Amino acid sequence: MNNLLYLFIAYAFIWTGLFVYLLTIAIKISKARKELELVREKTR
Amino acid sequence: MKQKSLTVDLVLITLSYVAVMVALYMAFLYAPTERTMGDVQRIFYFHVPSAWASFLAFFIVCIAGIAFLKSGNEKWDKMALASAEIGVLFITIVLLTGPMWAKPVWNTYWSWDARLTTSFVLWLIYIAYLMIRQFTADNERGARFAAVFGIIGFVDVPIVYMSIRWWRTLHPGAVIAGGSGSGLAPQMLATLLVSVGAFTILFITLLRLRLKSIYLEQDVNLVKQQF
Repeated sequence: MNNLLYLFIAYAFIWTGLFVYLLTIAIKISKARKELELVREKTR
Repeated sequence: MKQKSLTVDLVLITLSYVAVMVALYMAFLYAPTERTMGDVQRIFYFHVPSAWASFLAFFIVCIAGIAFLKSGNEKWDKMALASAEIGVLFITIVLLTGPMWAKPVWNTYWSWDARLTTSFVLWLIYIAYLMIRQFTADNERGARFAAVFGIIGFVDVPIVYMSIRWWRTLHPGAVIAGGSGSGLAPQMLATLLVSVGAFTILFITLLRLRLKSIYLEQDVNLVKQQF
């Protein structure tokens, strides 16, 4: 395998890992906010 | 207050983005190509900072664990949990990028040498920590057990760091503070330091965002319990 391919795969691991984790946090925050908003609306 | 918190988040996210872009620019366009390894050596500029970020994360797990055991304040427990999660992310990156660098240079993806083995053990320790947290969710005793586990687990961090000094390994020796014969070209060193700075800012940003999600999830659970 070409050296550049190893470099590419390594960088793909780094940025995919970070992006997926960031996305997971964003989804969790958005889901929790929506649930809180729903409860607030129900109690009004 | 909420507005101020959002501004801090935005500033941190922007700072992380800019720092990572500068680090990428330096890794590919500023740092010279290494003579023997060639371009694949550029993995170094994010492999080492990932290791640094994981050490920092596990250090925070240890300190937060001590603070939780002393004070019983839940905020330390949450801090330890968030930090452990991010630490596992970074050490996973280290364990995945290392073999990609090793294969063209050592002609093997993996070798059970001291640095690689202790790093793998570190990964296992904090995976176990997260599993403990998963199975003892919202449990005071579980949180205390996890805190003790996180403190003891941190013992492996200095072992990982010192492994290339204590034992003969296939892994390259220390390039910073490695004694005579070690060292980096000035441009390589500058790139490494910028990358370490970028990953430190990124770690702080991720920690803050993860803590925010943990507190929001706690609020949701509290509200659900009330109704």
